[in-house]
Amino acid sequence: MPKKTAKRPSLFKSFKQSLFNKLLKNKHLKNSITLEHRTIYVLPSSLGWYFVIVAILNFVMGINYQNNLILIMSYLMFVVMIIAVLMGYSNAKGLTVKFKDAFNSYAPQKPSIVFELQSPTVTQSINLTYQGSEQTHKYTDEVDNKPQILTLCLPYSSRGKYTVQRIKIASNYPFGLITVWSYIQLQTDVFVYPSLEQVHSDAHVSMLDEQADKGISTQSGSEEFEALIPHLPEMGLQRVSWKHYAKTQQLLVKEFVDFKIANALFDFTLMNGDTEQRLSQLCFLVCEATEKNTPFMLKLPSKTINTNTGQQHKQQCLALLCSYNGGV
Amino acid sequence: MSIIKNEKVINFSLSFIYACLIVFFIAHLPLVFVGVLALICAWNFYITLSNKPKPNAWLANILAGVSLVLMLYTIGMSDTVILFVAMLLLASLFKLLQAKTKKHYHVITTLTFFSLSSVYLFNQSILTTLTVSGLYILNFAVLGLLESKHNLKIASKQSGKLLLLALPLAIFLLLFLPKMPAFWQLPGPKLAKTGLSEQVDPFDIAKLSNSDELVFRAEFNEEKPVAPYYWRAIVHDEFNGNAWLTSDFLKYNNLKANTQSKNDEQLIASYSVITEPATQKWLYGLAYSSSNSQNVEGNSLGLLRKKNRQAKSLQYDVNSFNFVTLPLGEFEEKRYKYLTHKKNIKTSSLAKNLKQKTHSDRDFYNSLLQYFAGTGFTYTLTPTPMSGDNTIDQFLFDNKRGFCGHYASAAAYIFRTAGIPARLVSGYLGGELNQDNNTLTVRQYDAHAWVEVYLQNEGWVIFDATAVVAPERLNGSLSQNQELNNEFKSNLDFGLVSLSNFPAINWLRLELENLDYQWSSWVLGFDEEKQNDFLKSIFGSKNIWLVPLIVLLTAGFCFVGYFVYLNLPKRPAKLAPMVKEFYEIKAWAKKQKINTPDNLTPSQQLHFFAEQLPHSAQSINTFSQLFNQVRYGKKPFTKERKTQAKDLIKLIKISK
Repeated sequence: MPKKTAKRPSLFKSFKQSLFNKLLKNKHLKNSITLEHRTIYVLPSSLGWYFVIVAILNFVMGINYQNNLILIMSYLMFVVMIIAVLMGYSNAKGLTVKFKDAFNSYAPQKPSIVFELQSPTVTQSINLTYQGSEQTHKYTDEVDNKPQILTLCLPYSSRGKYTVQRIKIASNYPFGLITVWSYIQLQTDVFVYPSLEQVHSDAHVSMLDEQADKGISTQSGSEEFEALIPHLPEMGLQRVSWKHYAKTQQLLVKEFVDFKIANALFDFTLMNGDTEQRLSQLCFLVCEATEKNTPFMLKLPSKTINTNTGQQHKQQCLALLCSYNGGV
Repeated sequence: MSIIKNEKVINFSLSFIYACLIVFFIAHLPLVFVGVLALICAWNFYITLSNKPKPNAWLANILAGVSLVLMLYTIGMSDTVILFVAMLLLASLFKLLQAKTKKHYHVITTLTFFSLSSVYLFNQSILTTLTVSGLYILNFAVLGLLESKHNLKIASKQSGKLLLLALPLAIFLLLFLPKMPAFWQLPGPKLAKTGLSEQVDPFDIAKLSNSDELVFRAEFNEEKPVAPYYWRAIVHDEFNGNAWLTSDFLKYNNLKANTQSKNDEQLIASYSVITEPATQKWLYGLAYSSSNSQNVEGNSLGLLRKKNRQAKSLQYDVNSFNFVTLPLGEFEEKRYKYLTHKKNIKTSSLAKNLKQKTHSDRDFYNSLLQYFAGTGFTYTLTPTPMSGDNTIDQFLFDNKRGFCGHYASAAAYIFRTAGIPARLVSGYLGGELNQDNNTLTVRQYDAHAWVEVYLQNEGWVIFDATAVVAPERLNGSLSQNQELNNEFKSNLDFGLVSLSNFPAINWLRLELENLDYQWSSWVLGFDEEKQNDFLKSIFGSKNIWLVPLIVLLTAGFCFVGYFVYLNLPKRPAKLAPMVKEFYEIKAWAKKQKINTPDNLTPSQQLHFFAEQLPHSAQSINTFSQLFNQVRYGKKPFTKERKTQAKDLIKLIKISK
């Protein structure tokens, strides 16, 4: 497993980060944002700065050679720059970006976030940029009043639980001279589950029988016939075994139980390999068990999740696997 | 990183822009270097058209290095402006050859904005302006293409629209923003073509190649002075055996003398001159000229000079006076009589003969004129080249064919030999008069050389032997001279002037000329002075401080207005027929507090209304029928149906 040493943020970067947070004042801590006066930021893009520099050069040349045609070109460039700011702002205004869903993934696949974009007027050239340590982009040419679904992949491919960083919604319309942008800061986490590694050994299965014999937990239920017990007055007559009564004139009641016992136990210590491999195997087992509807129990050195089944149980287990950071 | 969607079109457009730029600079760059640029440009075209990959960085860099060396070798370091332009073109073309990412293209397009402007340093004609404006639009379209998936046509349309929107404001800024003086002195571009030179050496010229390029225009304020117009530019006072030169003494020791300013009564003409861009310092004026314009200075010879050596068109006002009859100083007289080189023996003896026969300088002047008129001299633009150290002898006694330079050279030599102060002057003679706007257009082919002689008691007098050899040459321009016309035209590059026999074309030519004149007078010549006059005429001289305020307010107002326009709520798309009417009923029903369930079809809704409002039920049902006919029965929504629907709505609303 290649170890990624996280770069220590430089002083400038951390300063920038804190400045940003102060300026943004949590305005963007929402799961849906509509771009409006308060939340749109406009500045010349890098091309815009080049453009302004050339306009200034043209101005200097026009002045020094007293050349009206060059001067007018320079003024033209300045005016176009200002018009571009107005156009860019009007273009972005009204765009709504709504968070729809986050898709977790199994390593090495990347998780993704799904947005719904909509705009009362046509908004052109929108770029969603995920601003993590590594950036990902998603571009769409045009958004109008029909909702448009956009999926943004996140740059995470190794196991873990990640807080979703700020996402930049930017447009370079028109001519790329300016950048009009805003942010959306989602309050969700995404998971990259361990990769799936198939397990052939029956180690965990053998554990099953052992525990079943111990009869870890029985409780009365309705599925499985367990025994006949003598009838007590408060029991009612629904479950009386009339066959026995006919034969023996003895009132006996049928007792049923549900076998809500640990049908499987997935134990970290019983897996093979290093931490990641073990987690991968556990991940596979959890998925398989959920698919077969087998109740299971997950046991990590740090924490144990009790026996259960179903999607929610699975999510819980996988989340635990993701955030596990102990050794073998 | 960033993917470029229209790389092929972008490459093609940029190559096209640079191909046009190369064409603009052909005249100003060495041919070899132009060839290199054209080759790179063609390579770009080839790569784009045949979808070949771009050359790798090593190859391109080596080639760029070689081209750079070639550029320095062919252009040299003397003319920094053209060197700078060449470097800009070369760099952009090589960058284009290697461009792969969006950032590369951004650099190229921004540089192109600068390269396009630099065309105006060399040429500011209307045609150039139009072409360059077109290229600007194309360059903006390329910027747009870098951002979106549109095709070139849509992108050009968008950029054209944007520039058209920005243009009025830019013109407004040009008119009203106070003009600044040049921050610092920049080297001007050196233009190669000129009709005049500081050295008049007619004898080794076999063919005087005529160019119909414009030199300057003069607009007379009141009455025109009497023709012929001798536009003086340079005085040559030193003869070295072949050529007449301007001595260093004249170059550096003729500061402005104030003697002339006392003689206001001798004013012969006042006019304004607009020159075409040229690097030489000399300007043009009639007789003894002086000017009060800012960038122009006069000297004691009555010549005008630019204060700064700048190659841009210049407009200045001139007052011309007659030469004063002050006696020459001793030193001056000596200088104008001086001949170092006396190898033209026959000419010298001719001069001495004439001198002996005549009694005064004026007499000598007249008999020399007669000599030129009566001895079989002819005027030609294709003289026989002469060499040796007695070229004047050869011309006067053997060839007898020549142009102004020959005659002036010979005459000045004869005067000096006879002990009469004389100097050679070069400049332009005549010009084409446009009666409509009282302007005189002077072109390169009007270039002329003549002699000024100092006669006792008369002062400086023009002696022009050409005038007696080819008298037509004095009246108007060569282009209007019938006799020399054929020779002249065969000599001229193909142009509109050479087609002036056809009346329609001649008319067109004059119209274009007029347009060109307005262009240089109003657009190119709009300088600080003119701006001041313009602003004063609008605001009055007291309220000039209003200007910056008004500029700011107007610009702000324009931007706010545009912003409001951009953010106006868009009109809803056109509704289908009858839908509007249906909505009207629905709105009315809502006012009557009838809540319609949303899940009903229009017909059902109308039915519902009819049930709720029994008074107007009949009208509503009729409307419903009409609605169904038009919307679903494919009946056309004619005018009658429209009025019927309106009437029904009225009925529905009235009945209660």
